[in-house]
Amino acid sequence: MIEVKHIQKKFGRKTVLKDISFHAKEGHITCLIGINGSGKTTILKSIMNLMSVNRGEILIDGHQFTEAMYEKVAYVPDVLTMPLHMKIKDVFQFMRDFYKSWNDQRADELLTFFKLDKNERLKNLSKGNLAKANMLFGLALDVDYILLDEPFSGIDMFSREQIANVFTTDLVEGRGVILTTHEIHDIEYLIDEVVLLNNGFVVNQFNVEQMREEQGKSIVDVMREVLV
Amino acid sequence: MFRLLNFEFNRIFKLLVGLSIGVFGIQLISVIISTISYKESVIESNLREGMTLQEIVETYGLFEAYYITLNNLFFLPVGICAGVILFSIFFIWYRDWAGKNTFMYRLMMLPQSRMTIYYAKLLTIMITVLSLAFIQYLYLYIYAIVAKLILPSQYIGSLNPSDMISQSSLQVILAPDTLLFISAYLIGTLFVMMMFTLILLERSYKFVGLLIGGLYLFVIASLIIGFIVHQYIFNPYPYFYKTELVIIAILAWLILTLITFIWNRHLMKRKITV
Repeated sequence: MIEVKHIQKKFGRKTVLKDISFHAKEGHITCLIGINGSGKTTILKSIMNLMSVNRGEILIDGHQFTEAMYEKVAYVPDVLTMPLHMKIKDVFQFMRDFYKSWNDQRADELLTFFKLDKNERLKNLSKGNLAKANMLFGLALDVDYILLDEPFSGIDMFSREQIANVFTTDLVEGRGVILTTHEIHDIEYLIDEVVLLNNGFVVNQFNVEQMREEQGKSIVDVMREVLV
Repeated sequence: MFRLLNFEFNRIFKLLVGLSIGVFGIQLISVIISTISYKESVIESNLREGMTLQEIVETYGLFEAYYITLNNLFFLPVGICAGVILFSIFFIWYRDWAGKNTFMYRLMMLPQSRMTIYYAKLLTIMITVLSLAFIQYLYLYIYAIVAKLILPSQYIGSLNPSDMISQSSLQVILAPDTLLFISAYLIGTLFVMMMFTLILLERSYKFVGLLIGGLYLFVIASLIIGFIVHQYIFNPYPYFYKTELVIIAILAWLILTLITFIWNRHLMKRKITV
């Protein structure tokens, strides 16, 4: 389980995260929802130790973050993380060289799933295919948790569908996923847990199924109540 | 660490090859100009005026190592290399943040110490500099052969590369004394580390970091210049003995390297963000 406990993050005088606490379980898809600038990316970066927090702590399976955790948690940011001149197969080699958790078989399965060509250079890929390749580099790691920042933003409908579909396959299932998105309609059916952020606080964390059964509300209904 | 060093070095390798070719091309032209101009102005013109071979050599001397680096064009590519290396110190970091892709994400998420990134970049710069210096040294042998091909052998004196170095500004990059050579490159490494401090401060604290880094470099530069001015300009007699100066220089290098390294380590491990 990823536990975020009372974290605070300031940028200069501006406090973006005032007091954020939530948890994300293994095997569940947890979605961070909030308006632009609510600190979703900052939270993901803080979990990955790519940014230091001013207060609070983050635990992964009960432990503080160490460099070895990058074999346990993968992060797919909303930008490509490899040099553009590289071919997909060169990236595979790079990942194989540096990560024990790199799974070649899974990488090939994902390549087929996303219909990508191993010999293609990253700079020649379309925006949708770049997003898929970026995701592939994260998903092909045998990690327990995957953090995805806006995996559906700025790409066409069919690529979006393809990316959403991967969540229902065994390429992702069983792992803990934290994602941020604006395109909540397309993936509402995938999400298990929602963490609603507003003004630097978590205003609500709920289980989607439970909310639907007990109160008859969808994610958008709750968002409307809280954020509008 | 060597995997990342290999990766970083491969990214800069084309630049190294380009520089090596550029240096060779320009310096070769410079050497040819110097040699032909010696041949025309010293040998041929005097032969036309009736001087004998013996008289020409006695009056003007032989074509020695000194003539190889005589033309200012010879040092143009050395200056260009220095500029490119200075640019690379910044480029090697900033390219990982800039553009459509942000490779720094991947580098920072590698399951190994963040300092590996630092060492890989530092060593890449130092290996590039040393490679260029070594290549420059090898080229001197080729230039000697070129001069021998152009000039009649009777006019050629010693074209020993070490003389070419000791009789020109090349001694700045290829100090003839081993200890001096090592010292120069240790100081060079410290300079690169200090530039890294500036970059890491900017990446950690943006504009404020740049100011702090600038101030740090200004203070260090002022102390060094102040010391030199005090030692050699204001005092009629140098204040310290030579051995004392060596000890002071070693201590200063050690202290500065240590401070810079610890600061860089802190910034790498705790402060830089992506």
